[in-house]
Order: sequence, then C-alpha cells, then structure tokens
Amino acid sequence: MSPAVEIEADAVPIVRIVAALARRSLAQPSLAKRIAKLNGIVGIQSAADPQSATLRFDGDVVRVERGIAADADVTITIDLGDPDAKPKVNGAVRHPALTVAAAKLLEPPVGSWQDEADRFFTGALASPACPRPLRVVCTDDGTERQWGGDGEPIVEVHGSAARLAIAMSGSAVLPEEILEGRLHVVGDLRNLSILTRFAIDHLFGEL
Amino acid sequence: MTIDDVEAFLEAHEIGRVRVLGVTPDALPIGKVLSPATFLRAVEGKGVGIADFAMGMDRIGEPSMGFTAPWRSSVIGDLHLVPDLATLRPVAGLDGMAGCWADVHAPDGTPVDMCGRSLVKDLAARLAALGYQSRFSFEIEGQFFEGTAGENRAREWRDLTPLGVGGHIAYLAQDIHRLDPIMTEICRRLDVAGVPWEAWNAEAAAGQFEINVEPRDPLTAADHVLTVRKVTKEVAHERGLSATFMARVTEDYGNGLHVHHSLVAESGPVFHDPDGLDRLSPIARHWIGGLFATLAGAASFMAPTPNSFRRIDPFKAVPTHATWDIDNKSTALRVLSESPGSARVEHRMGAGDLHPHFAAAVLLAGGLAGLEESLEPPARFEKMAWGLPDGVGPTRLPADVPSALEALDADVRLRNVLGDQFVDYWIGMRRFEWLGFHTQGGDATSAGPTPWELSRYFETL
Repeated sequence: MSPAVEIEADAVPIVRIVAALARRSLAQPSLAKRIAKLNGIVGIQSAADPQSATLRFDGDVVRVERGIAADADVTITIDLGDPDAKPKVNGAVRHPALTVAAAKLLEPPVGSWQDEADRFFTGALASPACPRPLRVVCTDDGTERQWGGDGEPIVEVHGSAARLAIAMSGSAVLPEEILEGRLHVVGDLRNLSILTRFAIDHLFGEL
Repeated sequence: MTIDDVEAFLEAHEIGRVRVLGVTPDALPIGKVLSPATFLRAVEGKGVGIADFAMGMDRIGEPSMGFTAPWRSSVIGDLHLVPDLATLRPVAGLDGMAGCWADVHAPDGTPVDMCGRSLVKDLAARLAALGYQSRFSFEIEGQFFEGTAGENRAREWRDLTPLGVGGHIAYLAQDIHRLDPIMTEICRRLDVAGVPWEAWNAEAAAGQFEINVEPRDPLTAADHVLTVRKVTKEVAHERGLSATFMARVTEDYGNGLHVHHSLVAESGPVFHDPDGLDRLSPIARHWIGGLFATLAGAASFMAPTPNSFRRIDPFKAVPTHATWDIDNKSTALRVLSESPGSARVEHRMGAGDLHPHFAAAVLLAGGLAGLEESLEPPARFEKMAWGLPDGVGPTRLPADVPSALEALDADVRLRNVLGDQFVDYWIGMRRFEWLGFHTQGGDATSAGPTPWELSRYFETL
C-alpha cells in the first residue's frame, strides 16, 4: 500500500505543491515501496525566497509541513525559478537513501503531453465553470487534440511537446508559462483567467 | 446638483481641472484629471472612460487571474467613472483643482459589482426600505516615517525611521510638537475637502497617529477614509516624509481601522432602550446578532491582506475571538448603550489596509441579515477576550488569509446579501494575493513585515 501524504490545515503553497508532487510520485509502486520503509526528516527550501517545507517520512505516512524543521536529517535547497539548476543538498553523505528518495519524490515522472493534458483537462472540465472546448497544438509536429466538445475552441494552447507536458502535468502553472512566452495561446483574457484557477488547483493537486 | 450648479461651482472656485476618482477592489483610487469642459461633458454623458483592466489588476499592476466577472471584457474594454457630484470639492494644496469620487459602471450603465461605492448604496437602500439609515465612523490609524516614500523605496524599505520617538502608549503627548505641523495642514485640507474631522492623537507605535471623523452615512464615511489616506500621503510627501496606512509596518503596534456604526429611524437613534437587556433595543440586538453570526465570514474584508493578519497579536488591542460585550475593548464587537446618542457598535477587527466601502458593506450585510432573521447574539463575553486557551470558551477568529476565505465561502448569510458573484470574485482576489505573498518573497514566519509586503503596501496604502 502506498504511503499517505498528509498536510496541515491552511497549508501554504509550497506545502501543497510538495504534497502534490509526492502523491504523483508515489503512484509508482517501486518508489512507494521504498518510501514505506523510510524514516527521516527532509527540509526543502527555496534558494530565491523564504519558502520552505519539511517532509517527515514515517513509514506509511509522509507528512508535509511548512518551514524547515530544526531536526531535519537532510536539507535540499532548490532554485524554484530555474528548474534546470542543480539543487544543493546538506546531509546526503549521512543519509543517502533518504536523500535519493526525497529527490525522486519531488520529481514525479512526466508523461506525454497528450496524457498530461488529458489528466488536467478531464479534471478541469468536471467543473461547469471551465471554458470549453479547449485545444492543444504541439508545435514540434503540428499534432492537435481537443477536449470539452467539438467546434471552434475557446482557448487554444500552442507549444513544444516538452513545455506542454511540463505545464499540463502541474509541474508549472499553465497561464504563467503563457504570460512568460514559453507557451502561446489563442483565446482571451477572461477565459485564460478562469483557466488559471484550474491550473493552480492542479499545481496543488486539488483538481 | 444640476449641470448649471456644477458650472457655477467651477467658475466660483476658478477650477482649471477636475480629478475624477473611482476605487479599485483593492481600494486604490484610480481616475483622470479632466479639463472643466470635459468634466461637464462627462457629467452630462456616461462618465469618464477607463480601461477595464484598471479594475481587474492587483495593487502592483498584475492582472488578477483565476476568476472573472461579466464586466471584465474578453480582452481589454472600457468602463466608465460616473462622477458623484455630491462629493465635488476643491482640492486643497493643488490650486485650481477640484476633485470628486465616482462610481464605476459597465458600458451598459450598470454598476460594476466590485465597485464598493455602488455596493454600499445598494445596501443602504435595502436598509432604508426597512425604515432605517446607518451612521458610520472609522477610526483611521496610520504612521509617518522620515524620508519620502521614494527615498525609502530606494533603500528597499530598510531602516525605516518612524517620525518621533514613540512611547508604546496611546495618546502620549511627547511627539505632538512633531506631529502638529503636519496634522494641522492635513486637517486644513480635510476641511476644504468637506471631511468633518473631530480629533487626532498620537498612537502607541512610533510615528503612529489616529484621526477621527464625524459619523456620516456609510458611503460618505468610507469616502472620507480614502480622502484622509490621500491627503495624509500628499502632505507627508511635501514635507519630505512618508505616510502609510498598511496594517503592520514594523514590529511595533499595527494600524487598525475600527468601524463605529449605529442605526437611526425618522424618530431618531434606535439602538438604545433604557428598559432593554443591556439597555439595547430589539433592533440593536438583532443587528448585533447578525454581525456576530457573520464575524468570521467578514474577516477577509476587515483584514484583506497577509500583512493585515500580522496585526493580530493578543494584548495589542486586536480581537482574537468571536466575542461581544458592553464597552469591552478586548472583544470583537464592543457595544455602547449608555444613551440614545452614544449607543453604537464598534467593530474592532478592521485592519488599517481594509477597503472602507467593502468593510461598510459587509457590516451592513451582516446587520441586515440579523434584522431580517431576527437573530439574537449569544451571551456577552464579560471577561478579557485575549490570551484565551485553545478549545476553551469562544471560537477563535480566522488568523490567516485561507481560514478567512474559507469562513466567507461558507457564509450563506453574507452570500445571500452580497451576492455570489461579488463574494467569489473577492475570494479569487484574496487567494491571488495570498499566493503572491507565499511564492514571491513573503514570509509569514518572519517577526516583522517582509520586503515583499513593504514594497507592495507601503506606498499603495
């Protein structure tokens, strides 16, 4: 059985995001099995701002809390603004298994853009508030897919397969990717604004 | 005021330009300065056009995302600032300028639901239909610092130096000689602006002051708060100082904005009853019952930002639990009932950074629900309402943005009166602000405000 991921009430964004990543990672049976045998405390902090969280591994439960615990065995410092930057780790020598497990927990596998978009839009479209139809166009090869019915899409997202997969997986916020030019959109601000709510819920694993 | 009256006003005061200001959902004044001829055309027509994104951005100009409303066009469209001529006054300190507040309307002429002025008018009309008028007065607290806002911004808000030495005691006279020249000019300008100030005093934090304004109808009283903020900042800037009304600027006492209010009927004030329980009339008890039932739901309006919640500190004059009592300043609702003229409710949850129109609206909404449902308040809390142990006695009030939003989301009474669209938009805005705080540099665990808070709120409040 996969360990449960618990968070505190009124959790801050980094706690919700870390918990969402952990839940996705724990869908891998081999990792879930390894985590279920672990005990230890891992702190995660942002290199750029005061955001921080603590993962408490206690067999069947992984608890995510705000702030860095004073008794953390391992501390991982991540540049949240640069996903390609190498994390800095303290405590890895003494706790190699814990460090590797935590790193894997924070990096769930990302599927194809089609699979990730399917998961995101299926969740979002369960709400009547979600704009529809939605179309995604992969600029690598021109393939398209549409969700929420036929006809002219109300929002159309264009991008490379890699960027689409990251954005649709909840590892980044879709509208932020668009506003920063990593993805492109055909649509309007009103619907992009509504879609933002679903993208944030997705990031938090609350969709 | 007819168009001829407006023309006569402009001529009599030798007005060469008119500042027309609406209010954003973050309580920022926005508008244009018009030539007299353009102003007259705006009065006779649909108002002054502004891009709708001005109402749809957060306080630092980023588009508020995650929610929408019918008045936000699909891309960028226009809204209209419709001048409220009852507020037209000369602007002291800016020779030849007049100013007025404006309602924000959609192109079809309907008020935008996030226009606080329009919302307060609606609720006041609803109360009038029951035979009552309300009288509101805000206790406005702010702080002065050495150096202009620009100079403090250039230092990235480090080493903020409050004006005066402070004494951690409210009313202390030791800094009055430093405050007096500034406050005298502020009060002179408030006189010109038609703001009936009553008194000012030094407050407990260094550089802190409080201004009291006479009670008026809720729309006028809320307008007065924004006028006081604007005039104070203008005077401070001219004197090489900066002023802010953000809720917590330093680790010292924060800035509050307590809201006093009462109801009157044609016969006079209606809260006092010499024979009633606690000398309160049934109307007063129902009103208090409604306010009490919506205390938690109202929290995000009384404390809208992460910085607002830094003010919540037991024994620092900020309520922490859902309580009411007669003349007890530790409770959330302090009720006075001694005489017809003084009987009123002081809602003490308000932080200095609240939107005064929305705050008035949410109190009217709670009170109206109380009247319509004949709600009764629980027993008075006749003890000190600070330092209470968890799980004992009254319910703790929301102490952060998410719990305040959760309480509002679940408050059926406030939703019924204020409308789902307004409530959902407000929740979306506040959630967006909370996300920004946590993901862009804010830190709820820091002892005092973070640079993120100071850069976002110091100048805009």
